[in-house]
Amino acid sequence: MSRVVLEAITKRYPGDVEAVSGVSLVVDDGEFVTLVGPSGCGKTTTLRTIAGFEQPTQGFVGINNNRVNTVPPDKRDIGMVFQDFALFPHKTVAQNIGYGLQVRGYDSDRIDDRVNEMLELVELPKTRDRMPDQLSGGQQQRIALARAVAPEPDVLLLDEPLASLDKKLRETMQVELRRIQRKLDITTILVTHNQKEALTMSDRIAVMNDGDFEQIGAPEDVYSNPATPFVANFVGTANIFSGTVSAIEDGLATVDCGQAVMKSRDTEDVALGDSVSAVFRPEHLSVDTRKTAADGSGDGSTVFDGTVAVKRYTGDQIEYHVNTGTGDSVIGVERVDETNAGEDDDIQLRLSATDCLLLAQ
Amino acid sequence: MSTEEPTLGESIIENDIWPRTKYLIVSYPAAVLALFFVLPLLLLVVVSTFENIEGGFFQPAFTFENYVRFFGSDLFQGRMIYTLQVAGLTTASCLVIGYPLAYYIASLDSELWRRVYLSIIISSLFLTFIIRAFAWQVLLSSDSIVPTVASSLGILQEPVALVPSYMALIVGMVYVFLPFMVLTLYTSIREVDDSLQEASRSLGAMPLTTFRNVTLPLTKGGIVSGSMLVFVLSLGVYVLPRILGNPPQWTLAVLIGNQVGVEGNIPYGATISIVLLLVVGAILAVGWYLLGGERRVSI
Repeated sequence: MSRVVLEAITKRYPGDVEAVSGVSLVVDDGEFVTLVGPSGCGKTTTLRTIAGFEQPTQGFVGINNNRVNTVPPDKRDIGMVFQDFALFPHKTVAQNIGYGLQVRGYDSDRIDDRVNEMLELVELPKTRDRMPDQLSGGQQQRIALARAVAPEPDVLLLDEPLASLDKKLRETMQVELRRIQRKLDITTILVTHNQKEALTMSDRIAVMNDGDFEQIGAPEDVYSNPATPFVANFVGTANIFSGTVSAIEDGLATVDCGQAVMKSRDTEDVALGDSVSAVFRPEHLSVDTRKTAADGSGDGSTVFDGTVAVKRYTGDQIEYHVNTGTGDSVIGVERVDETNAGEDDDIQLRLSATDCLLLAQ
Repeated sequence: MSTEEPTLGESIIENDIWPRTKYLIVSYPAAVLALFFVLPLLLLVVVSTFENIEGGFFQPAFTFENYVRFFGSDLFQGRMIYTLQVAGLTTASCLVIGYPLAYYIASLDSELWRRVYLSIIISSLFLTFIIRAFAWQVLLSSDSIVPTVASSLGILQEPVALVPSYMALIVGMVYVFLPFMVLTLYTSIREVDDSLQEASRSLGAMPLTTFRNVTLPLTKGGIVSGSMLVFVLSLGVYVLPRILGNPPQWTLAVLIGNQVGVEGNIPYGATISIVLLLVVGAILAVGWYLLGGERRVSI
């Protein structure tokens, strides 16, 4: 059982800078949890607290149900992959991978076997005797991973391990990393600022902002049911309008957002007069150039009429930034270019009330 | 004719206002090297084969008599070894004292404090060797601080003068050359990425093991270049042995000075200088070899 438990972890630096403010998280055995957030949100500090490079000002850090708050990193049985890989430049690939075993006093035959096993795992068996600077970025990344898991640590900690790779390689490594993590069934905590990476790799993601978790949950939950406007905006793209609930009838809320009036079926947690954020995803908007009746009451959908301000072709979809003429800009996307609207063309976006989330402000 | 059309490179040279400019630019460092370094060295070699005439004069000859005399004398066998020992002990002491100091300063988080510490170390270089040598002469004399404190602590039975002595010489040398060692090591230690040490810790290595396996090998370049620097400087030092040592403590550099200044035997002084230079050269060669043998070292 390799669980990682964080209970109300707070980290304050001299000068009263609070990097982490009372976060709690339990990572189960074999689980892959990602801490994701913008830079400076405290995710790296949280990871370094688990690693033992930082000590929490308050709170409890547990690995395998043992309190490790003051246990130094070398006594925690962790494996860590660093953003710059941190391979020892004066050691060969084999010496790098075998390092954790060597300092544990294993005999050389056993180290040799394990090194070969690890090289097989990361599919780089021929690099044994190379020096790190003779490897490509992707290879260095794999060796760093092999080195981290060679001593069979309880927990694998990944600190932005893919940030320095180019996009193509990064996507390959995301799949690789996940494959290896599943194969070893090792409890893993990843830190990244890349929300796509978080969504694609993890069992659960913890979205962090300003030293605190905004939401912890499975990627699809976090994406489709963001708990806060911040999460909605950080994970994926979202249109966010602020307004006041002006009516609730038959499970359909009307939200007055200045010029735009939104309809939503997400009425569970809102009451008349509440200040809310109406949040909806671009892919939930249907895009049309034809002017249909702006009928927002009948079928309970919201209609935005406007002109195309920016049209972006991203390969797998077309993104329309629509100027609704009221100062608000709405983003809608299409899989294929059916609409065929150009910039400055009139366009209509339609949102079903079931796809409009209302989040308390 | 199209074949006569100049290529790009040719046309640039042909259109040059002064086509030989590049030779002039290249020849400047060559001229400086030749005039101020190679020529004096050659003169020294030539003079070392001259014959001495009583009264500080010499006459051209081509004789190895000076070399034969030197290699057969106690000067070479005794003083050369002694000089190397002094330089070696100075270097080793500077390394042992300097490494922890440099490591401490390099590992400070605050850039301000790193600068403050380095400035303090550099500030001792503002004074010349001579003044610092005299300072140690005063400090170590019988009624001064060091012997008084040492005797009150029971290290010395009574406050006696510790200067001139071998110990005084080494103390003075270490004091003078320590900054060179610390500055060289500091640069080298700063270049070791923090994440390498953290990686080692995360893999289960304790701080001392991490130091031995990661920091020390990665600062080998700094250790070798710092040591070479201090060793070579120590070999050539003249003032410190004169002030802090008695004749038994005098190194080759002092003896070279005596040959020229007191004995008036310039060819023999030149001979000793040449041999000392060759020894320094050999040590540098070994140092370069050590540096070259290690990958990724910084000088």
